[in-house]
Order: sequence, then structure tokens, then C-alpha cells
Amino acid sequence: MTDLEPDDQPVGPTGERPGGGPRTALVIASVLGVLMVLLVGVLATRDPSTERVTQSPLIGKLAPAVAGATLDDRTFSLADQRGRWAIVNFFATWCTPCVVEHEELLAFDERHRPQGDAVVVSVLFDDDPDSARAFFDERGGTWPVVVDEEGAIGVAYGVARVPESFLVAPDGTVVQRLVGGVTDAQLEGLLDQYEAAAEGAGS
Amino acid sequence: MSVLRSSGFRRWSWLVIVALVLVSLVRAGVSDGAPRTDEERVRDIAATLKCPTCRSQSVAGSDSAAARAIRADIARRVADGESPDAIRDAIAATYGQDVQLVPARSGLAGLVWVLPVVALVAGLAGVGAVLARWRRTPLTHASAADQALVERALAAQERAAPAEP
Amino acid sequence: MNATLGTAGVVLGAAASLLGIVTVGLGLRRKRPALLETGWSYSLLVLLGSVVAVAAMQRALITRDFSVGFVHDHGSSRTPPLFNVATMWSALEGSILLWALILGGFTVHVAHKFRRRMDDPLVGWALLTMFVVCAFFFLLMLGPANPFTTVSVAAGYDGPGPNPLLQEHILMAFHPPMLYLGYVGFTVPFAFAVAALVTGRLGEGWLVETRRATLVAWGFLTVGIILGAWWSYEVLGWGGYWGWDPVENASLLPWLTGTAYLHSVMVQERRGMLRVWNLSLLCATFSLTILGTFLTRSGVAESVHAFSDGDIGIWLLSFFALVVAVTLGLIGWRGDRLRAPGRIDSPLSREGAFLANNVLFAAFAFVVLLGTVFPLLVEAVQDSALTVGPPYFDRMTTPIGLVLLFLMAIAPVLPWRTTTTEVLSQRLLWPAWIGAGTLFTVVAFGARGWAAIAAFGLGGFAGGAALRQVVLATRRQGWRGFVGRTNGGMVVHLGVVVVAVAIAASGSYVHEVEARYEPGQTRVVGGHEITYLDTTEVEERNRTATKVRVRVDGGDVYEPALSQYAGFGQLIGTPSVKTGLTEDVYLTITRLPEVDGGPVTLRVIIEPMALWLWVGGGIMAVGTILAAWPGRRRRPVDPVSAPIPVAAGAPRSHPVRGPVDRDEDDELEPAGR
Repeated sequence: MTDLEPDDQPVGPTGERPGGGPRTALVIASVLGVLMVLLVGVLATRDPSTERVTQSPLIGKLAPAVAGATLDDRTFSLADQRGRWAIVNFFATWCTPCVVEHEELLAFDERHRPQGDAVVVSVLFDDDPDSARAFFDERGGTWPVVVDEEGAIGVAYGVARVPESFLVAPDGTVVQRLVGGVTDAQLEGLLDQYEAAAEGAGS
Repeated sequence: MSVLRSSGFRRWSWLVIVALVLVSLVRAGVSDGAPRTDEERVRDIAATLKCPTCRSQSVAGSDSAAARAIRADIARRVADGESPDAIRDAIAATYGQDVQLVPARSGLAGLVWVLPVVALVAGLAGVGAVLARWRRTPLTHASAADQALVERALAAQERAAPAEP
Repeated sequence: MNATLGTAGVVLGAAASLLGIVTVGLGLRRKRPALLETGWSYSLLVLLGSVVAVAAMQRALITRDFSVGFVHDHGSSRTPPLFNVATMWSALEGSILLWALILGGFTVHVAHKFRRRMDDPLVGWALLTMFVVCAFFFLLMLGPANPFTTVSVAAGYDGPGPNPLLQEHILMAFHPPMLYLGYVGFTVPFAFAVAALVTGRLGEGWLVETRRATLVAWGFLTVGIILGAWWSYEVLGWGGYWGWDPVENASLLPWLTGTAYLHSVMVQERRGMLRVWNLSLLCATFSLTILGTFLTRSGVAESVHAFSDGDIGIWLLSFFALVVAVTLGLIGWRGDRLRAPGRIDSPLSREGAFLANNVLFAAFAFVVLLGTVFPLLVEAVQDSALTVGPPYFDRMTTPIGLVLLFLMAIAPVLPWRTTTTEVLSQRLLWPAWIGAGTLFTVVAFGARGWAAIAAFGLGGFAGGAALRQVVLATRRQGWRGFVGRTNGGMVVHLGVVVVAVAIAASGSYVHEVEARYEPGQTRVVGGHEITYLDTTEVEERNRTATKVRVRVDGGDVYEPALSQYAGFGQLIGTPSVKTGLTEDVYLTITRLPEVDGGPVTLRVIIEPMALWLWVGGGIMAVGTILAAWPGRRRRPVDPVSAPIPVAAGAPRSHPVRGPVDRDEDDELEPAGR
């Protein structure tokens, strides 16, 4: 069937067709064209998905409960911490950024523990208490570490991957979600910023 | 063979076929409400939520820590007797609406459900309209000019390609 | 050296395509056959350029020449040989290179096939279109996706190797080339569609001449998709094979429009109708290929497989816009004048069924496209993000798929033009028996869920219809009853039925249990005994794998693993599958023992009939080969509605054109019905 002679007869302009109006293709092509322009326009202005950060829906809401047994067999409840800032930090001993972050939290905790204006609480995420105890023994840190056996606290906060931290205001609302490791300076900056804003609003 | 080909046999066959289908459907329908286990319910709900750390996997399909924690949370809530929608909403309230793999049926998101139906109906209506028009208009016959065109084309073809061996 | 050679190849390919465009364009404009004749040489140069570039890349990969940017980023001395070859298509730049190679091959195929008709404007325009597409891909490699950048490396440098997920399974060596053969193959009919629109020659000649290329492209695309699903199943570890991920959707979209085309083209060949629609389907298929590549390669859509970012997105999007603008412009300009006279006499006819098939496939494609881009559209309008996930696609496409199955049962036995209920009731009797019998049997055995049992029943119906056609054809034509488009098509249909039934079964009756196992402990999951033996650590060349040894049903030992690839942080889970005729036992590790001899958490998924997906895919591939089998065919210039001979097997002699083939199947029906 190869090498046929040119087989297509020139199609004469026969005008009206028995089926369909004379301009159907043009109309449909135009409508599709407009839709495609819109589609291309939208696609051209999208950022790569990796650069999209989703806001936590918790911002501005009352912080979910962080309560339970701690590593040193006491109990802790975030609700008791009203009146001061709280850093709710989710971590695991197997996560490298958590190790880096630990130093920063240590510095922050050491400065604020005496003042009593901010408290750090860590929540163990997908890890076992023994490793965590060894982790704290080795690297220091005396703040409460809540064991979240089934990950319920993590789910309540919408934790996707550790490390992840939440800044909880003295009135108990979540003001900031920090994905990835935090630094001491970053936390200080945030505290200052929010306190200034609160004073501005209060005066 | 002749028995099998007879139209009487065929009519009875079709009746039996229809009866078979109806019996099967009724049988399947009657016992469709079989009680399901909590495990199945958890899996069904988890399959409608996106694993927050993965790309394009559901909570049911992923082994990531977050997915496991969410599965455990769903299991607790199912045990507490919460409805699937309430559970989904609760998870979405902390992880964000985009963990819902099933788009909402209302608002802007609802368009994703409506548009395909509209498109399908429009497509079928278009085809139906054309068919109907064809039915109404009688077949037109070739005009003399058309005939001449065909003659010329056939003649050109003959010249271009003599009969094959 | 490798980089220089490779760049030379790319430059050669780009220059040849650009010169090809200019020369063929001038030839078409000035009507100079001599210029048009040169298209053949330019196509060879394009292929040569891509072959040189690919050879240079493979040489660089094999010799671990880390001074080549691509090898630096994706190569590694630890990668095993086969995966080292496959490294080329494991990342963006190399995959464009593979694309260019295949495109070069198809361009030469077209130029070769039509070498004696180079002065025909239709061929000229088709070749010009092919050169434009070639030029785009070669320019991509000179611009944003340059595989041959040079980097200076310190002595002793070793690259990270390809993405671990792509080193997990041998299918990775075959799935992407197959898929690309499919994607790129559709460029051929697309080029002819553009040529037909430009020249205004919308007859059936070019259709027939690109028919085999289209069929081959479709076959490769089908195989590529099935292999991709199989790869996901064997590697990704969630127990499924299709996640409606943007990458998967991107491969499905051209398959859907391509499948619609394969059916509706028969209406055009037989009745001379639907010309503009067929052209539109080809243009849509090609555009969707480019759009899919954009969606997955630019990083705008979230996906497991998406690689890369950079500025390639805007290039691909611009090309998509160009293709859409040109094709829509051509269709708007020409479409109305070129419509063929003709009418469908009755919806209850073969052409009526094909029309319905096309509406459904178009709707299917629309659902998939909408679902894929909808999150991006919503985000452009409002602030919050939204996800359209697998449940949406399942819910929307299941009814469409079921209606398509129903059509698959009816359409093959429908005669052209019109029919009577008498004929239908006679021809559909046995298929209906098979369908109803299947339905009754599965329900009696306890199958539930309306979608699944409908799929089984309709699958039996459609399978029965396809079988009936094959049996009739072979009874009349002997072994030829298996070849030719219609007969091969029925074999494809059988494959589709097998796939559909497997999808319904594996989707509806999957059963999974996650549990902790102490060493030596046995649990029974879905009737299978799962015994955890022990955990071993295995050092391999490119990874360290922790394998959990599990005995299934007291027989063979299976080893799901978690692997740490050198150069990559995250652990990669490898499932292990006990494949069975009726169901697979799919094992993945959820949690390794924390201490030696501790308990392991395993997830056991019982996946019914998964094997039949791949078998069905194989049947579809065989059917495609049978359909493309060279044989006697209807001549495109034969009158389409000539009286059909009824004498079995006897070719009728045509007054002018010699033998007429019996490709179509109405004549399968015995006389006098």
C-alpha cells in the first residue's frame, strides 16, 4: 500500500453541508482557542510546586493540647503554660536537622528558663523514648519532652515531617509554624516581632 | 443447529439472560450492606486523604511517619464513632484543605465535578443534534459539477497509476 | 571529548532541522521539487546528529566521564551496567536526548517511506512539520536542557548515580523508551494532519499511509503505560499500580485521544466522514504529549516522578502554545470548507457506535486533563490550595469505562450504516450469555460492589463479542483471521477486557493488614501464612539493603527490603511480591526491628488478579502487532460502500485496482442473515 499516487482529490468548495452549519469548526476552534489562552496564561504564571509553602490552618487558633507523660515520667500540659510564650517542637533522634536544631533550642532555653517568659516543649515524633533519653543525656537540655506514642499530638498539629515547631503566644494561640530546624536568633526575632505587634495593638 | 438458530429459541434465550442479570443484581444488591470492619473503614478514609510528606500518595498507601500517625488517629476516631466526613474535616483542619483528595462538591472546587458532566451532556447533545438534522434533511444527490469532478479525478488516477500486475 | 562530540551531534541535529525547515519551506513556496528532494538528506543528518549525541552520552556514562555535566549529576561508578545505560533517561536532559533520537528515527522513516514522492506538497508539509518538532527538541538541548555542559571535577569525584527509585527495577530500562516511542510516534500522523490541513487535501490517502505508524505508536504507548504501571507496582511499595499522578495522567491523555482516533479513523476510511474531527484528535494527541511533558518536567504539578525545574518549563509551554495556536488556526480556517459530505444513517450502526466511543473517550480525556490542571487553575483564582486525588478520578472515570466496555460488546457485531434488532439479537446472543453467566457466577461466589460486578459482567459480554468475531474470522480465513486491523483489533479488545477485569478485581477486593511480627511468628492474612524469619543486611555495589526474610505459605522466602543508596539520604523501600494466578501477596516493610531479633512491622497486601494486568497488556501488544501485520488491505481509492462479496475467502477482482482485501468484517457474517 506504499507509494500510492497522490490520491486525494481536491475538495471543492461545496459550501453548505448537509450536517452542521458552515462555521461550526471555526466557532469551536475559537472557543477552544480562548480556553487554551487562559490555560497557558495560568500555567505560565504558576510557581514550581516545590516553592509553594502551605500555611498551617492552625495559625490564629487555640493551640491543640500537648499533654502526656514526659521522658522523666512526669506529666506535662501546655494548657498550664498560659501567660508565657511556648515553642512546641516536634523532633526525632534519627533526624539530622533535629540534631543541629538542638543546640539552638538549648541556647534559647538556657536564656529564657531563668526569666520564665518562654518555655520549650519537645514532642517525640515517631521515635522511642529510650533513644530520646540517650539523646538528651548526650546533648543536654532539661525542658520537658512529651512522648507522643501514637503520634496523636503530631496529627493535632498537622506535623508532616520533623523538625517542625510551633510558636504559641501567651494567650494560647498558635502564631507561627516553623518548618525545618529553628535557630535561636530566629526565635528571638519572632518573639520581639510579636511582642512589638501586641504592644502596638494594645496601645 | 437449526434449533439453536430458530427465533423462538433466541427469544427464550434473551429472556433467560435478562432474568440471570436481574437475579444477580438483586442478589448483589440485597447483601451489599454487609457490615464492614473498622479496619476497612479506616482504610477507606485514609485513601481519601493525601499523605502530607509524600507526593501523590494517600495516607492509606504511605509508610511515612506522618501517614502512620494519621492512620492511627483515624482509627481512634473511627473507634469513637465519628463519621467519615467529620474525620476528614478534622484532619484537614490541622493539615490544610489540600490533604483532601476528594475535592469539595460546592464552591469553586465543585466545578471539577460539574464541568465534565456539562461537557459530556453538551457533546451528546451536539451529536444528537447533528443526527437529528441528518434525519430531517433528505439525502442530496450529486450535482453535474460533482460528477464531472469525480470523472476528472478518476481519469487522473488512471493515468497516474496503471493497473497493477 | 565526550562533551564536545555530544555537542557536535546536537548542533548537527539542530542545524539539519533548521536547514530542513528553510529548504523544504522554500521548496514548497517556490514549488521547486529539487529543494523538496533534499528533505531526505536533512532527515538523515538529523538522525545522524542524534545518534552521535546519544553515542557520546552513552560513552560518557560507561567511561564515567564526570566532566560531562549530565554524568556529573546523575552518573556514578557504583551504578550497575544495565542501569548505567538507563541513566540516560533517568533525568531531564538525557530523556530529551532519547526523545530526539526517536524523533530522528521517525523523521527518517517518513522521508524514506515517501522518498519517491518528495515533490508532493503533502509530503513536503509533513516533513516540514517533523523538522519543526526536531528543531524544537534539539534547540532545547542547546538551551535549557543541555546534557553536554562541561564541569571541572576533582580527581576521585564520584557522582550520586540516578535516582534510587529508578535503580530498583529492571523495567526502568524498558518502560521509558517504550513510552517515548509511543509519544514520538504520534508526531508522524500529526505531521500529516498538519500537512493535510495546509494543503487542503483531507482525503483518506494520507490516513492509510500513516496508519501503520499510528498503530505502532499506539502499541508502544500502550506497552509503555502498562510497563510504567508494573514498575510502580514493583517499586513504589504502596501496593497499587496507578495513582493518577500527573506523570501517569500525562501518558494516559494522548493514549485516550489516540485510541479515539484509531476508532474514528475507520469511519473516515469507510464512509469518508469525520475528517476534521480525526485531524483534531491527532492534533490533540500531539499537543497533549507536549502539555504532559510540560506538566511533569516544569515542576508545576506535584508528582512522584517529576524531575527537574529550571527554565525548560517556559520553553515547553511556548511550544505547546505554538502547536495549539497553529492547529486551531488551521482547523478554524480550513475545517468548515473541508468537511466531507456524508451522514450517519442510524445511531445503531458501526459508525454510530464509533461516534459514541469518541464522545466517551473525549470525556474521559477531559476528566483526566481537568483533574490534573484543576488545582493549578483554582490556585490562580483563589488563595487556598486544593488537591484532586485518585478518588475523584476513580469516581469520574469508572462510569465512562463501564459504558466503553458495553460499547466494546456491541460495536464489533454492528454492521455499517444501519441494523435491525433482529440482527443484533442474533449476533449478541452468545456474548450476552457469556456476560450474564459471568455476572451470575461472580455474584454467586460472593462478589459485591456495583462497579466491580458490572465490570465483570460487561467484561464477559465484551470479551464474548470479541471472541465471536475472532472465531468467525478464523473459521473463514484460517490464520489470516488473526491478522489485519479488524481481527488484530479484536485481540486488542480481549486484552482490554482482561485489563479491565483485573483493574476491577484488584481495585475492589484488595485486602491489607499491617502487623508486628516477632521472629518466627506466623500470621494468616487473607488465607496466606506469613512467617517472619529474620533480618539480614546486604552490601551491594550501589546500596546497602536491609532485607527482611519472610516465608509465604510455607514455601518460598520473599525479601522485602529497605535500601540506603550511596549519595542519597532517604531510605527506599522495596516490596517483594509473590505472584499468583488469582492473587498476589505483596509484602512491604513498615518498620524494621529496633534491636537485633526484635519485632518487625510488615504490611501484607493481598492484591487479586494483579498478574492479569500485565498479561492483558501483553495481549494488547500482541493484538497491535497482529493488527499492523502487513497484508492485503482495502485500497483507499476503492468505493467505500461497494457491495461486499459474500463468497468466503475469495478476493473479488476489481475492474481497475486488482484485489480488494477483506480487512473489514461485515463480510464475516454468513450470507442471508
